Amino acid sequence: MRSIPAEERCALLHEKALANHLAGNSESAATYLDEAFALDSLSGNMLLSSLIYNECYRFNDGLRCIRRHLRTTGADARTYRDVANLYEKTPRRHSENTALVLSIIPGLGHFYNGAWEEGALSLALNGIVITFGAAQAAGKMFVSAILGAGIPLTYTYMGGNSRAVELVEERNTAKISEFNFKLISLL
Amino acid sequence: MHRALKVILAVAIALSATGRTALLAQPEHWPDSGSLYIRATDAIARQTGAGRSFSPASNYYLPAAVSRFGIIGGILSTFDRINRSGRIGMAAQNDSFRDPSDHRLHEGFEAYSFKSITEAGRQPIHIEIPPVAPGRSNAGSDWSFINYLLESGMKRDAAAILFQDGIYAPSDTLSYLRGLTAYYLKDFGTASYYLGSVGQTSPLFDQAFFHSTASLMELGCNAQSIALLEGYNGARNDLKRLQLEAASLMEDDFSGYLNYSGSASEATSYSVMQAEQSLARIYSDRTAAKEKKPWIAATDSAIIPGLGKVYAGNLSEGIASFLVVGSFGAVTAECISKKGCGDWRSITFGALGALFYLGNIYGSYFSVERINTYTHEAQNQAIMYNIHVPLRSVLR
Repeated sequence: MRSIPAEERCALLHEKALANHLAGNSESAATYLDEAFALDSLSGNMLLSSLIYNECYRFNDGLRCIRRHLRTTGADARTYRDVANLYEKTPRRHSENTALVLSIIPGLGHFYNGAWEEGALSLALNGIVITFGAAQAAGKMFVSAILGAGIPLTYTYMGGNSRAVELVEERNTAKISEFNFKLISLL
Repeated sequence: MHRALKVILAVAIALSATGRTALLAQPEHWPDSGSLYIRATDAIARQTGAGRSFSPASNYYLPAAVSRFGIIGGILSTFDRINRSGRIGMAAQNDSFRDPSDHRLHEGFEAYSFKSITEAGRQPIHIEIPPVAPGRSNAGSDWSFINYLLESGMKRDAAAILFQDGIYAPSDTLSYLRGLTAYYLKDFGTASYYLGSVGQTSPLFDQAFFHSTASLMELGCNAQSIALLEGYNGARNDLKRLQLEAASLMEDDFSGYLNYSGSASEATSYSVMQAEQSLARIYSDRTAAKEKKPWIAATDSAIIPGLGKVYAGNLSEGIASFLVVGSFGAVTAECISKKGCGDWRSITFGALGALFYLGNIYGSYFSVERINTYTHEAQNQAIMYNIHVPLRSVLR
């Protein structure tokens, strides 16, 4: 790479960013963009860079890029205002760890991501299994309590936890696609 | 007792009402993913982390299997499938059979019927090899460049140059390089076409010939490969012998294998010798596997759940069957001893346990064939590996 002139290297990094973005790997794409902008902060496709930064929830960088895009395309004052307004209400990124901690109580991790029906189902499944196990233990039927409720509980409880973590990813992707779609419709 | 039975009947009627359309699905058409039955079972599967081992998942498999094998065969094979899909049951599964895109094992009805998976998946194809045109030159102006591309892994770049019209005049060298590039790109149809068209007078004939027969074997055209190899009169008798042994093993022609391997080995290189030894091991494994009987597996599993699967050659599925049926048995026994036969817990756990037990017998009966087929496929992969490796080390 060292023998390549800075301009070409910059173009190469932008292409790598595009390739990673198309492959759905936006974190790597953003890293390549950082490297490219460190060499030359003015070259490259600013709209695409903004979308990539938004996908990584890096809205300051995204706003910087989209402003530069608006400047080069000569947008009117209204578009500037609309874009600024949109960036006032950026979606918040949900954390997988929070979902996992909340899932200590079955269903809470689902509720955190707005999946109300799934959360209720998870809560109900765990409730049924725990109630059955407790009733069996109270009736001194310990084999049924351990095998008939304990084993299903590992599936309902652990399955609920991993589902909550999956939902975080789904929710984050959905929210940012919605945001990027709104941004494009403003231009 | 009467109340418990009434509750179970009511649940069964409600389930059959929602699942009726799904249960009547044609085997060729998997149930509609929008139906209530699929949506309900999918929702539960998502919350319990189930349904990630097989494709189609068992809730899709059940209705289609019922219409394919009848109500008993459909339900029993589904219970066996659920049993196999757990973490313990999948432990000994060969990962190379899973689909790399979704990490699931793609398995339909063939696992529970006596139609070999290999036969269903692999149609015999006959590839026409064009006659050699007279007067071709052996010029290779870019020989070292193309070889450099191939050896440094830039196969697509080599193909882009070689397969363009108008760059090179037609020649044996061009056919050989085109065929070899296609071979490395695993496009075996194209490979056998071009490699097979290299003339016998060409100095590249040996290389081209053995790569083309290997490509034909990859496509399942073993008989054609054997016929070509029988007609070979060149200097590489060790490779001829190795490929004949491999092709007859792939065809399950054991007398042919013994015939070819009977004479003293002419192997001159270490890799050919190693490959011949591997083939001999596969031959003895394959003849030993032929003797297993489905009814012995079923009887074994009826006596001790899972024993039939261990007999068939899958320890992990056997252990999974034993644990699941044993757990249901223990719970049912406790419920019966403390609450009597009429208690709803005895009936529910007993019924589920019985289904898993019968499913385990049903599955064991078919597992001999299924595991044989999987082993057969794995052995075929090993045979092809033993063909490709000597080609690389001996001919290049």
